[in-house]
Amino acid sequence: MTLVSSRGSRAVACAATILLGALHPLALVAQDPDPLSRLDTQTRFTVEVIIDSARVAGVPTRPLLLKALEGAAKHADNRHIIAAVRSQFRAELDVRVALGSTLNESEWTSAVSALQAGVPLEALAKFRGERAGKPFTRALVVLTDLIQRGVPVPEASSAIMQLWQRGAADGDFYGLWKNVEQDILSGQNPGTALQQRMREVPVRVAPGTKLTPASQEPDNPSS
Amino acid sequence: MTELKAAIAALTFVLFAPQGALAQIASKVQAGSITTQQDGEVPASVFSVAPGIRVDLPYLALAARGSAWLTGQQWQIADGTISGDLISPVFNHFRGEVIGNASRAFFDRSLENDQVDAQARLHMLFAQRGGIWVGGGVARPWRIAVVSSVDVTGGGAWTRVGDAMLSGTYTNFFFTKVAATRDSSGTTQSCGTHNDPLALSSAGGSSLSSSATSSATNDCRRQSRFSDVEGSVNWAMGWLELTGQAGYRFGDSYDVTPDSRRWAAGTAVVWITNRVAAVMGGGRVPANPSRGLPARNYANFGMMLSYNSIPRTTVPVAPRTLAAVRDFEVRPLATGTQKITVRVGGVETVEVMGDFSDWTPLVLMRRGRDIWDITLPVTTGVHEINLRLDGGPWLAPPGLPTRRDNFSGDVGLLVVP
Repeated sequence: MTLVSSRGSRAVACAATILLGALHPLALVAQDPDPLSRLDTQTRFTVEVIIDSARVAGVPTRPLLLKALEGAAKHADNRHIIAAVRSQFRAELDVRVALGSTLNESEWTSAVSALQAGVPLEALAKFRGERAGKPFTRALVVLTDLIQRGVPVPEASSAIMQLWQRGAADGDFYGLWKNVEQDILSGQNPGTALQQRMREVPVRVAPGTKLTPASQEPDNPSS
Repeated sequence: MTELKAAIAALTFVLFAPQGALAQIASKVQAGSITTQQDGEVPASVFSVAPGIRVDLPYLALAARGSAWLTGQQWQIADGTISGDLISPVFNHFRGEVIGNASRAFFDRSLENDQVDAQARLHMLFAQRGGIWVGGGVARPWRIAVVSSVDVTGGGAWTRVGDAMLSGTYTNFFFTKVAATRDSSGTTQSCGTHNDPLALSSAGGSSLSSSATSSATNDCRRQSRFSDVEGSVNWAMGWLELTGQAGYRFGDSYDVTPDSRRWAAGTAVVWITNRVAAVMGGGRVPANPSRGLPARNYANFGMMLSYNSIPRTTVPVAPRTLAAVRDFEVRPLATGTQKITVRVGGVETVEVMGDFSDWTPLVLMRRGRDIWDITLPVTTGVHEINLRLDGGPWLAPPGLPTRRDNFSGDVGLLVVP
């Protein structure tokens, strides 16, 4: 046996090396310069009009673009894509009314999700009143999921607001959600599962904080 | 020595590239002993190193693999293949596939040839239980006694039974070759045209051409046709994977030599860790007349270092539900990058997409047994994410809070702290 030394082998070896180099991982992280090109002309036009409206209204435009791209990726028909983008735009306008426009991207996302899940505007607005610099992203994410899993909106909103007022950490919200999810998967009534699991969440109180009784609605929260 | 340096460079790339961030590349290296025996010859053993690399894009897979043998004190590049596989989305249970390969075999001076081939297939998927496919294509070999393109047509079916996957294929081969005037049983065959300059020039500059020249008066061009029926079963349970296959070749005695009429082989893979496995197997491989490769028995034993242990089979798997996902984990790596790991068995592809990818599907890489991962730039905050198995519906990953997506589905809400 001898080492291959034909011209053909050399060409194959070089081609393979070049191919491997060309396929380096970094080469695969390409940004689509015109993502809306995934939509047909009419849908794209309508989406662009909505995005322009959002820009004028001073609400984030990227979530609208992403919603359109999500619809295209899921092969939704054009009517549904436009409806979803419009719904997102309306929800952003409502969130701005409820929480103001000084939200970061995560807060916009979580607030829109909560609103679209069915959280009333008034309940959402309480997070602004009680905000005091406390992040509410995780609270709203968990609230959205609980409602989706069948916990009645008033009970879910009240419970999450109560926890948030008490200074629950992100881990507390996540732990509550995991436990309630397991209970629901085990066949328990969603509302009952939330009530029972709420009792297990530790109370974290900042110095000087006045506690709201657990049975009381968080309409008159302490700060 | 240029080839050896190139091979070392390629091997180095294969070993280290997958560890980079944003890796869309997977690879494996198998090393061990291979013993082969052609009928009537003394068994020969070599130490083989076989690296492979694969790049998966949403509907395109590119792969390169090769092997080098250590015989005596010298390394020899034994074979190499570069391939591409274009796969369409599933539409009403149908999926299209176009496969292209370019390969070179160089087992010894008498078994040196090249081939390019292309095939198109149409798959029909039945829920999660199985599927069928039909297809056809053409292959063009060089430097052997085949003087025409090789037409390949066939079909197959597969189904899952518990942890086992059963598949069967039927493949027809049709080509023209330069061959002896007597068949494998010694009977004189009628020849169409005696060998001509075209045939000999097509045979190329290998040693085969000289042998063809020396026996010019006894050679002829003849159309060959044979069909292979092959069944296989793959069974995976925990750390053990077993694969067995058996086949039968239909054709007259001219096209099918007795040593290739039937065959069987088996392989066992024992996973020591998620990335390291012991591989052993043996059996019989039939001749490949369209490639000029003889039938042989083989036995192999070696180790596999795997980032992508099992390349995607040509049989696609129907959509599965996320109930099969045992674990979904997102872990921070370097600044701004997250590693998404999914544990799921019995699937061929795992994809994610979300706002972080502008809702472009990204294919996860198989890292050893049942583990799939991808490293992505994901900023802190709330992100929406979907997961898909085997081209099925987009679903929210397990273990994440969810929300409705306004498109009759759900998305997972991933909070990156």
